[in-house]
Amino acid sequence: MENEFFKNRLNVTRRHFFGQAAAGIGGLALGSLLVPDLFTGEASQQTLPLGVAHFAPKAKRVIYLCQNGAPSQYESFDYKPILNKMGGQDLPASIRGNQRLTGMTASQDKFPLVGSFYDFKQYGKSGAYISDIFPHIGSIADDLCIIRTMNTDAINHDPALTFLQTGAQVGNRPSMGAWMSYGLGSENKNLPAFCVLLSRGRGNGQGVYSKLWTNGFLDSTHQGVVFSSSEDPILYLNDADGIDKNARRRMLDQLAELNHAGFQENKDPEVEAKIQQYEMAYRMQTAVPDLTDLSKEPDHIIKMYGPDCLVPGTYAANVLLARKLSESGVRFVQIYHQGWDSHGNLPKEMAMQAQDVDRSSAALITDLKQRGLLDETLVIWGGEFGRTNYCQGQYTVDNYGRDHHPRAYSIFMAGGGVKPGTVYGETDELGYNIIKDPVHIHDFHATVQHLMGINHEQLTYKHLGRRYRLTDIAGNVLPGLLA
Amino acid sequence: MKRIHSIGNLLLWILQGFLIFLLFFQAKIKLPIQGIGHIHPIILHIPIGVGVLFLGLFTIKKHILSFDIIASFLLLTTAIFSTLTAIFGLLLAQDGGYEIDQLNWHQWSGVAVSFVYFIWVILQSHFLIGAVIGCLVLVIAGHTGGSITHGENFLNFGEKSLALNDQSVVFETLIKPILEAKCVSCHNDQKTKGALKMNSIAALLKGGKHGAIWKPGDPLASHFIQRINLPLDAKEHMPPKGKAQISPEELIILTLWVKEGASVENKLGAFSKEFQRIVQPKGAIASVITYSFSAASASEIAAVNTPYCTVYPIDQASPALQANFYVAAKFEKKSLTDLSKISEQLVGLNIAKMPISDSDLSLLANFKNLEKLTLNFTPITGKGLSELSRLTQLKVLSISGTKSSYTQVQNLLKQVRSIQEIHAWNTSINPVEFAKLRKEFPRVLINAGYEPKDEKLQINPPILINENLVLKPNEQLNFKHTLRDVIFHYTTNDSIPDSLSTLQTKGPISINQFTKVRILATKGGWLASNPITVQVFKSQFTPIRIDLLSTPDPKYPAHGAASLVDFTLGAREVKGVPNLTWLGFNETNLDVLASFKEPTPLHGLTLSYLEKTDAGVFPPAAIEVWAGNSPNTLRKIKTIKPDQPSAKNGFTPRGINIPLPGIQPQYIRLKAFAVKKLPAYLENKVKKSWLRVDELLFY
Repeated sequence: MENEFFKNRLNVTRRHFFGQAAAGIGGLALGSLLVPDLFTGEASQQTLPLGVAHFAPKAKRVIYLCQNGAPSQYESFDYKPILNKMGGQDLPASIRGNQRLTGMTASQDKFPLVGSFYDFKQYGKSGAYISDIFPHIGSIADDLCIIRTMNTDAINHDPALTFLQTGAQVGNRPSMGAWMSYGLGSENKNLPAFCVLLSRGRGNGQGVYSKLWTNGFLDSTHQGVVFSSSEDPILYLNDADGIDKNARRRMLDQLAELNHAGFQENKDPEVEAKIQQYEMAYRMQTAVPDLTDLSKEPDHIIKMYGPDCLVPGTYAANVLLARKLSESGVRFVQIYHQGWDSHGNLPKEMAMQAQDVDRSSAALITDLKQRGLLDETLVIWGGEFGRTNYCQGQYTVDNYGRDHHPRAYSIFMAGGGVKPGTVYGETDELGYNIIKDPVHIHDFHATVQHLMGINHEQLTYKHLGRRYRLTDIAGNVLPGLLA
Repeated sequence: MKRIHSIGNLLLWILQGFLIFLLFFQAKIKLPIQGIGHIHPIILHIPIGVGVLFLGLFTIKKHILSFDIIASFLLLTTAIFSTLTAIFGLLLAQDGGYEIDQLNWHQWSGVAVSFVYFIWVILQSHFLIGAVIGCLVLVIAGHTGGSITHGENFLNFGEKSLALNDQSVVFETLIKPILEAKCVSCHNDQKTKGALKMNSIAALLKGGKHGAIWKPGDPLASHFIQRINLPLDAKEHMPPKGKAQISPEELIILTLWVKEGASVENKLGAFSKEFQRIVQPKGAIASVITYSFSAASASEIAAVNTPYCTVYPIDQASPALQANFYVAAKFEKKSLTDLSKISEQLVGLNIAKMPISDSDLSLLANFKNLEKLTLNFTPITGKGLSELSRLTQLKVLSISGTKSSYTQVQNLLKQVRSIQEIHAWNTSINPVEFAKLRKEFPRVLINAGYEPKDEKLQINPPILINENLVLKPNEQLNFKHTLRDVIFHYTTNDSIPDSLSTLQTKGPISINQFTKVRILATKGGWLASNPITVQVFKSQFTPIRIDLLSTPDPKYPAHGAASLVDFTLGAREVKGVPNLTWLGFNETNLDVLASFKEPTPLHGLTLSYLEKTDAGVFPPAAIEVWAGNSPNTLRKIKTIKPDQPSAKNGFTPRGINIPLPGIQPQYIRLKAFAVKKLPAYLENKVKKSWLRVDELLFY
């Protein structure tokens, strides 16, 4: 009997094999209970957003008012009256330490300290000091979380801005907005998840480049879409003459069929991206006219943002458009406002710049608030680095310039789960170095992602053999900034 | 025996099927029981033991009578347990937190072990080969698994809880466990590396051969923090390479603890808020909201998603859903009713700007877990708000931009006590009523929004619609304003318009000849805009042919005579780029002949020219107009001398109308003479004078 039994390999006949295999299928079936939608066939076609937050987000959307060129912290949010007293005296070398200087002041033999041309006032319950050229921003101080201890690695505009936007100084990484689009998807499928608006003030300007809103190695659907500064913010959206809606629909359907066939052949994900972009553009034809129509905005909204908001391409107009985009579910609206690079003639230039942005920046926050949207929209205002506490070029009390300073500078955030009515961090008496609670760009990114419900260590993308994330290999969420 | 064997066989097949399934659908698995994968480290030793025994058996094969029976039994046992181990391993991997590359190696070698034994169970021959291959793969799987788990605390179901409170002594609850786990094994009474003992507070405070190991308040100057921070390969790095390392979280805690004074006695309450926050168990930093309802399935969620209605989970772990509607023109009520399929899970709903009516609000009453509802700028009158009284979880309601009234909101707040915030800017509620609401519901945040200050701002100038300011016969001057109800005022006589003396109009302005128009915008409640000034040219009659009878300067040839009637105004010069919009004459004259198809009843002609005296460009010194019905019998009918500028100026395009009343010529010849003598104000800085023209128009 033993012999018979243990020759049972002879029993492994086809029939036996299939019999046993049935048991294996039973195992498969058991497993399928763990995947609820496996056999309904719909799971693969579901139209859920691309990503879902890692944990419950405070902010669903971001409006980033990037003040390109680096506004001076000494004339805005970091009040250093001692600089006025010490005006003209040399910055002690011990404070400057080994700080690298730009080519513009490296050859200066003196570094005369210079105080703010403008006075400061304390605002709100927080008593935050804000300079007199930002009265409207001052009036909403209790909604703001002012950070005076931002610091960055770069010392020139291009690398610093690239670092601020992409977490790296070289321009090949996805921008913050692209990461958000990748990680959280789009709320409104009729608009891009990441929109970019450009404006230029009257001060000394620095360029902006498309690498700042690039998708990097992410799928190109995550790239920032730049709106035109003209009256028609999105060009080429209207149907061409002689093409009606139906014809366009048919054309897109046929094109999609060809593209799908192409995708089957070469499996290039960019083909899929293209199909999606055509579809979105089609739907944008309906969604956008409503967005860009300012005629429905009540008069006092126009007054709040200032009459400039009716002039296409101005900062105020972009801020108003940003509100409308954000309200319509655009995940990340990035504004760049140029003109803050005050190497000389700072008192005059900074006042003009402030005049252009003060009213509308404050209006945006007030406006979001009265719509019940501020708690879910994060507004960020600030530049890529700060400016020196000493004068660049010829020093006079009422006309001076300031060079680039990466060690400490000020920005503010509002809404979206940041702690309102806060002044975070402290710089030394001369404002040169941070003495308490530094916020490095990586920490800033980690915190912004945290507010959006993203664990910055988990939102990664594998490219060229390694995983990348916005915070690279650094960054801490700063609890002191959270509401 | 046979029965056990065949049951085992069946079990093996089932398990293998399950394993293969898991491998395919790993990413989609949702585990019903958390921590079930932790059985993996318990049972993984069984296939190792039995597998090795199976191999070892061959060394004493000769001495065993029923070798085949035992071998087959051991093989089956190893196969079943290696498959089980692989299954639980995959489930454990679901919990995440492992280094992916390392995990991959372990996962696939582990699966390979189960496959090898499974194959030999089917084969039932060449047992020795199977046993050897099996053990080899086992070694790989075992080694990779070991390197993942080394030093980790595995037998731990569910979340690790630190049970911290204000009264916890920080050193005892947070610091000591780290030191004990990572340091004490080399720094104790028996083994005292670097003369440092870390097994008691007294010994710690004493330090080692370099003295104190920490400096309270200064982590960077603290010896042991420095050692931890050194690169792993550094000789001085602690713990030494190969030993369990301090994790980043532990390092943060140690560093902060030193920074805040390195007290061995203080309780958590005495540490800073930041410290307290950071040392809370992971995850505590993000507030977690738990819901009692179960999640909707992905297909249910997919079914209610449309291009104009987005429904998505609040986060990856949450059953709660948010639904947003977009694009009013595409709103379908069906999408809203469809949401009843997920009525339990819906906690957020945004239908701002959608064309819904008061009665539609009754649809929302089913969403019993709704916490945030946004109805901004919907056409509701507020009557329907009473429908929301059943929303007992509602916390935030936004009705900005609707017609909702004080009593409607008051009633709602009375009925729905859960409401914490209401945003009612731009509604029928007036400031007095807002004050009453705030008094009546002191716990509710009542947001009245921005109260417009009584400030008068200047309105923007009108916006010109025409792109080309050379108007053709049927074209008019059009302008607009982005604000509604704006009134425009304009003048055509170069005076500043004001509300009293000038025409008020909304419509286009008819232009008959070259005109300088000044327009401003006014609106109640605003200061009048700055005027905009536009120079509009008009062409009523177009010649069929135009011939230049003089030769332009080679630097400014434009496109020859055609440039004079191309209806394109001259542009500013860009340095280094040839400008082909102006015909230029350097101390020579313009002489041009325009031919019409038939005698034409002209009212006059317009010549547009450039004034830019700082570059020597002047208006013509004189213009002569010759007319007639054949080119050979032209008569001079007019000579004019345009005004010459009296000071230096920059780029200033100008036009001049020359009325020619009462004539009906077929041919017009125009001569324009360049200025010969440069004015004194140029102080000899400019050497020669220019005449530049760009259009010759007939009206």
